[in-house]
Amino acid sequence: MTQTLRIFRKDVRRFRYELCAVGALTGAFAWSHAAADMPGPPELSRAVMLADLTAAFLAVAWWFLVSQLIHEESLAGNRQFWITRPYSWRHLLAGKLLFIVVFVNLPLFAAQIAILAAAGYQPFAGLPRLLWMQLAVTMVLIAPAIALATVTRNLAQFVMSILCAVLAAYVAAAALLGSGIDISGPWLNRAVAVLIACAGAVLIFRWQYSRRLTDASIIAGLCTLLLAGAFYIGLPMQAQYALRSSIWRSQETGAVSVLIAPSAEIDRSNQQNPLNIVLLLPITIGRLPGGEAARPEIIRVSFENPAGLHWSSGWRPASRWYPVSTVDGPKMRYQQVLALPRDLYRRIGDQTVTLHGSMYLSLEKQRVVSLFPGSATRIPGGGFCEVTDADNEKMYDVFCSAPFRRPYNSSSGGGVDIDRGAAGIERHNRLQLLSLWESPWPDFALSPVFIERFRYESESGIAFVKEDPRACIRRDFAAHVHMPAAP
Amino acid sequence: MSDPIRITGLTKKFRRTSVLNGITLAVPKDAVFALIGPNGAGKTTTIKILMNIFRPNAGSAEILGIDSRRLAGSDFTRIGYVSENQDMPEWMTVDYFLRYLRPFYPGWDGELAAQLVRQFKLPGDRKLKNLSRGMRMKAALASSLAYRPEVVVLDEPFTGLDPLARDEFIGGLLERSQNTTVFISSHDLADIETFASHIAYLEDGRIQFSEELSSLSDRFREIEITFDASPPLPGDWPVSWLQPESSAAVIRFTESRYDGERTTAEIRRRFPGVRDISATPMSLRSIFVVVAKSAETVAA
Repeated sequence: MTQTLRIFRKDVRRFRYELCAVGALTGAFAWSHAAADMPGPPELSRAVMLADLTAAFLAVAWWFLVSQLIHEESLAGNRQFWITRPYSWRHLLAGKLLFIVVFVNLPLFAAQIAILAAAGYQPFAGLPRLLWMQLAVTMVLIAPAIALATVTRNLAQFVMSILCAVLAAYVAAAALLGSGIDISGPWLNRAVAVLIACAGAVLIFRWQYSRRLTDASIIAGLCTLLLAGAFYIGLPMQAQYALRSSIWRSQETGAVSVLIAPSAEIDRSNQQNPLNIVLLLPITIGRLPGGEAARPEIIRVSFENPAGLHWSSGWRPASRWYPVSTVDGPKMRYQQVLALPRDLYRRIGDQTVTLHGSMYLSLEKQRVVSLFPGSATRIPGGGFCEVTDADNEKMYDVFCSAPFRRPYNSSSGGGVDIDRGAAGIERHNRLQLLSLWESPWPDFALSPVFIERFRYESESGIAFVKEDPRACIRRDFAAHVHMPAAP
Repeated sequence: MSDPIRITGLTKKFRRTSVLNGITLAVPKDAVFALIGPNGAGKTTTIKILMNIFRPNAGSAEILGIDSRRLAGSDFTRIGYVSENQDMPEWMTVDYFLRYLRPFYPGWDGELAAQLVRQFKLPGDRKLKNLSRGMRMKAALASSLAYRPEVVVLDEPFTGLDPLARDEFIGGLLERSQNTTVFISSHDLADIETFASHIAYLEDGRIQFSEELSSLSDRFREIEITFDASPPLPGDWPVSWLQPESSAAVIRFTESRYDGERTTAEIRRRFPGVRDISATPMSLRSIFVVVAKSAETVAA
């Protein structure tokens, strides 16, 4: 028996009671999710809360188990008996990792298979995504716990370190929010931050096991956290769209063009900030592939007047929501809202300026499905949404379920016209489910089944607008634009 | 074969505090080498550097020809280490502790381990956390002797042990350490004196002396000089005459380089009116106290 297995067996004996508790929690997690992921009225959200609670307890139990496991042969300090015994650090680390794989990853994997099967999905059809979820859990939850445990001596230090980290994160978030910095972080920022944190964690526990340089490891850990935080906050907005556009390409998008109208307007209804002038730039996205809609994501606009005065907006979210975008045959028009400093605008108002711009667009196929009580529709990603009649005749219970990803990222109400042929146009309440292009991998969660349920009021049924992402493209454009005189 | 332990110019600082200031010593093969010194002298730091628990700032320490900074893994199959402040796997029973360690050591002697358990009267089914301090130390020693290491390093092993446990510990150590080099740090000079073959005195991170115990005992004497009348102390007091004190017609001091006739002649040269000279052999403890006090006086 190799040293790895000896250490593993010893740890199993040492933590047999803790393993029973974690095993029971894993079972409760699987059972509660299987019970909560069934279609039913919103009152079942209590079952979802219970399932979420077991997931949270399970994560805490893993952290406890990992900290105890690592502290069993503590790396910080100079009084441990094992450091003067013939332990090979590679075997010791391997023994610990084997323990984690066997008692954390494998039970979770089994629980995820059970949850998928209970929800009616083929578990092994999504095996790569299941394995990805294991990797994500290991990277986000387990690796940092191992790293933290390797630089702390006992559970008290471990818990105190977590509390300090949470407090520091809270203070930093409050400070950033107070400074007007967005901390929501798009998926790419999150992914890069997690990758940095995980790489740092691996470096730390590899370093600790091979050399036991605790002070240096703690400094490396703090630097890793700062670096991950800096990337989370500071990674440029356009980076994720640049990555998207390199991943999601389509041959049919070559002709898509972005044109800007030769004259801009001032939005006189939106002048709350006396220091700014709000400008509306009419933008047309043309030559769209048949049946596809464009969604402007982010835009950057720069002006230069004849006197050489230059101003750039920097990358910012495209204002696709104002006013409502309209699809007009193969074109789509919308107005980009741009707030310019009033002082600057006085110098370019009533002039023709040279405008350069760049925009990232998502192209997606929109399909509208009308749903009535008792009907269901499949949604992108292999899930489904179904509608049942609530007690009140105008109320509908909506239940959506999807494996590996949230059924939709956001929903919005409104109206949609359904062509009923001879019966004419029927106005429906519109429930738009946005399947946004988030990360290319499964969403992070312990459970592989994502559900949403809510009650929706509608006069005449519900229309789902399903958006099927096709491609992400960048377009650069330029035009001479006449600026209206400043008010 | 070269010395199993060689320390050369070893220096260790903890932030700005200097703990070891370039100590040098060698432990001969099969010696029972005692490192003694007052609290804070740097004994434990020296041993922890030797065991690669601490890293030196300068100098080097070698054990069995291996630089201590490279000491790892399988090297410890040849080295035993027992320390008074070592954390043990408290949840293990004595039997399980020995059974768990056994496969780590190719040279583990199961029969010897069983003998040690019997000799130390260790309760095999009791958890280490439920053992008395003495029992725990004996369990640690048993686990460090059962594979017949070439070198055994003990850091203050007698601290907190009652006399009986101490005797059993020393008995077990000496009986089982044939062909083994023992390096031990201790305050317990009376016990050390009974079995150490070599001794080094560490003070303020410096080795004050390092030699065989027999030569140390030979060169330290408590000298008492009796006069007919109260004598004046000479101005040029030899550096090897430590802790002088006078009362009435008597002067007492410790001679740290005692050499029968030469010492007597030197005393008679400095004190022509001497009536009687007595030279009494000193215990290790007395030598330790005198050297420590002398160092304090010099420092003051």
